[in-house]
Amino acid sequence: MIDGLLMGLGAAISPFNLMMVFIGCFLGTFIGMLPGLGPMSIIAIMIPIAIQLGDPASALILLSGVYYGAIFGGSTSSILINAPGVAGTVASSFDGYPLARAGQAGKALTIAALCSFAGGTVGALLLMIFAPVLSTVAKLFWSAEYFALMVLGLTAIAAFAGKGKIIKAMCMTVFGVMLATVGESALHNAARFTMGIMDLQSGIYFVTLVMGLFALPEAIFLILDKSRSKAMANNNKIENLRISKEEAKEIAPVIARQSLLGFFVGVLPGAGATMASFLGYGIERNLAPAGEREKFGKGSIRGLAAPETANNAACTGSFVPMLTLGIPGSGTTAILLGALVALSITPGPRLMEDQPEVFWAVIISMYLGNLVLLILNLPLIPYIAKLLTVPRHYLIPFVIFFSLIGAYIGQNNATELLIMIGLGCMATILRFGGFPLPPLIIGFILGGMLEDNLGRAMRKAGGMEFMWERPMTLAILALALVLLVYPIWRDRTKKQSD
Amino acid sequence: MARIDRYIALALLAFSIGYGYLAWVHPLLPFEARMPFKPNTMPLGLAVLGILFSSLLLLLPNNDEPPKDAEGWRGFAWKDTALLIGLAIGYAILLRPIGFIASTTLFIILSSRVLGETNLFRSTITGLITSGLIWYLVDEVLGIYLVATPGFLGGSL
Repeated sequence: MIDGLLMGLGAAISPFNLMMVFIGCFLGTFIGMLPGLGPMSIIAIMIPIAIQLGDPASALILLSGVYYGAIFGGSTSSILINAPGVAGTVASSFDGYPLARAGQAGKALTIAALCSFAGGTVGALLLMIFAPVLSTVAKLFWSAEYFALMVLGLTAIAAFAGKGKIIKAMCMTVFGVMLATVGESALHNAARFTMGIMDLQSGIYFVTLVMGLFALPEAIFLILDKSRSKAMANNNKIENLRISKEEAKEIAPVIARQSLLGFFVGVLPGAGATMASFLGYGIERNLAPAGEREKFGKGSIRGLAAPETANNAACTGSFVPMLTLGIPGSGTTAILLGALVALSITPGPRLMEDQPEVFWAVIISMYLGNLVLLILNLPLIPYIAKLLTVPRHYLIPFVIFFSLIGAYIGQNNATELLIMIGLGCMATILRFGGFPLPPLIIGFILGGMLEDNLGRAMRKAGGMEFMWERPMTLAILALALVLLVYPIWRDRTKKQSD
Repeated sequence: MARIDRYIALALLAFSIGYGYLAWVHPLLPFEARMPFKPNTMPLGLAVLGILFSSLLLLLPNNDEPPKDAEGWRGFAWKDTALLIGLAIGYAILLRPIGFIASTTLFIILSSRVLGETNLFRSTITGLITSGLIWYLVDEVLGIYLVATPGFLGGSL
């Protein structure tokens, strides 16, 4: 392992490759801030440039820098304007945006940068140690276990249900899964619930939904309630970047837990950063002391640290099946896999033996990518956070414009914009009724995977028997039930004792 | 007066019933009808859950805190909001016919004016710079096609 590390270090630390990391991180961060352009599309755009470099190590180092930069850029737009461009950063907006609104945008971005660094670095360490073993465990997971894992992810709704809101949260989750069934599914070719609208044939586009649910209603509320934007401008003390000792102590165990959890969730093909960030958020909320739990969703630093750490660790974890089995664990690693193939490298069990310099260069480039991102972004945070000092009469049009254009460039279809405006109005009404929106987006994101895995498991078992016949499925489903019932039971006993 | 969440619960109940009906009448191919997992298996289950939860919302006493977003709704700027939503719809409709640069500039000028900007020169310059920069980044740098100008000036649909 030491020889491999030195080999990777030798390949990664040349001046040219260091420059590639800087360029990758810088481009990734700034392009990633545009809603609608997530790591997947940015890496796809950068592949021709990476291939032109010729050297596989340099190409991978550039793409890793872009990858980590894009994830951090996505978190930035989530935190500052509540516009998460990719599913993996949706959970970061739950507490990151309230922190920004409370005048702590700088601090929120610093926490995001530090947690991303910690999650990514611990993930890279774990990748180095566990890659061969974990690839064997991941092979044990079948569609039945994946279905159970999706159900476990959906139980995270308990984390978003405030006092007496559990049924509203469940309604929203079911509604989100219903929206995910619009259009064709992976198992069936016939489109469902399209109402004859051709643009819905391939389903509702994720960015359209997420912009409609989060960014647009936020802009609508800023117009409706003038005091909000005034409070935001007045509170916006960007120089407040520092994290106090108490805050550091508070988030340290969260980072430790979520680095591990995120990595192991990321290893499972298909689960990825989104699942890790939602699970991480839900688990930390349940573990938090009663007083701190109330702050979740209102600007808790634990609530921001958990998804930020978990999604970065999961991104690293998703490299395990790609490098060791040749199976992409997420959309982004699928694109990276394509880049590797274009560079005449075949990922799989023999990669570590046949081309060790490439395997170790990828791991070292992850360390470097995380480190450079931290060095590059910490000084830039005050300038990035200055976005919020833009006057109200320009900030609101910009939020609306970036939401609209984010949905448009993904599909190149103006109908998406009208769907998004409709969704935005619907989400505003739901917020007036006190319905939590995060469960809706979780339901939508996990809904497609839930149906695919349920379908595969039922076809294989000939019915629902797989739920109790497979011990691992049963164990995960039982855990999901506990996660759902425990908060209800805790609230009820607390109410009785009060 | 019933709170707005009751009306939303009623709408969700109606939506779940409609969704369930569409799932029930979804045409199945002969081989699909004999499969353990049909295209409408999960939608039917979801419709049942939707009807169950929205009915519970309607029937159980409401004991959650009043939503913060609705506080002070009587003093909200409803007219400005309606105008901005109208401008966003207009932007969506005009984006292709008049091109990205003109529609974006127009959107920024008009929406900033609705929200209190009085300096037309400043809003025009802001609109032109924003639209120009984003168009250059998206179309020229990233290679994602974005129609810049109206059809009669060379832009195509």
